[in-house]
Amino acid sequence: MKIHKLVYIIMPLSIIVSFAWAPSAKYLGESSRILFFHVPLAWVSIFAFLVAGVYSIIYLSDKKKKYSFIEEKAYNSATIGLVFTILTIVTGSIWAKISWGSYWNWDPRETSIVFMFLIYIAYFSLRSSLKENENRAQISSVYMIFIILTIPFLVFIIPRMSESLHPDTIINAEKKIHMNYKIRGALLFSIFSFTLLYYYLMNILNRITFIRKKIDDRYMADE
Amino acid sequence: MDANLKFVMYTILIIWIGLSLFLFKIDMRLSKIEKEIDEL
Repeated sequence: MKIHKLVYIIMPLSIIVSFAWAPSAKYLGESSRILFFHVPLAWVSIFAFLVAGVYSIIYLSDKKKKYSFIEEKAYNSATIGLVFTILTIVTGSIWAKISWGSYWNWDPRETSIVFMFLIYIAYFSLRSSLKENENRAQISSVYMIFIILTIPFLVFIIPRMSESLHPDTIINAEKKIHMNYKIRGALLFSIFSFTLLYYYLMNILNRITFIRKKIDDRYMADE
Repeated sequence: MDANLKFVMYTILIIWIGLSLFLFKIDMRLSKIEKEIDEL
């Protein structure tokens, strides 16, 4: 059995752990369990874009064309990243409504994720507008590298520059984790299972890309 | 466990089962196509 297929077992286990094993957070009540979905979704959305950036760097530096479908893999990773970003915004809004009384509060972290979302939408618009252009892969890869340069600002710097409704980050300025060990365990397990889901989805999308390319090559050969 | 909490957990589990069945079906179909392409 391939490792990514473990997601069929790990994911439901993680859901059960999040509800049945982990306690709810003090003061926040049962709504705090959204944490086990919201944080892993946010993590995967950033991770997926970082992977897309790395693939883009490899694509641009690979002059001898040693690797195949690298730019397409970057696109696939960004696609998954975009879906996870939307889910992060949705779960965050639900949690915000319960905790802060409104779906949207223009909190620095909320604003930065919207910026990230718009920047990625621009990547897909750019890539689809260059369908006929033979330099599409290069231009998209360069844009993707610019995108990953914005991630440290949007994720780590801007949300820390002003007062936020969000609680302290898991690893805070004191370098201490103020979290119940069961909540921390369930959260880490959930992050692991969502990362595995990302890996599984990447595998499926990459296989579809590979099949599509093979079919295209065969048609070209026949013509 | 609270009844409401149970309801949310089972709802998420059912959504996951539906999604995993969908993904499993795609996975199987892709394996079949890959085999056919290799045999060509």
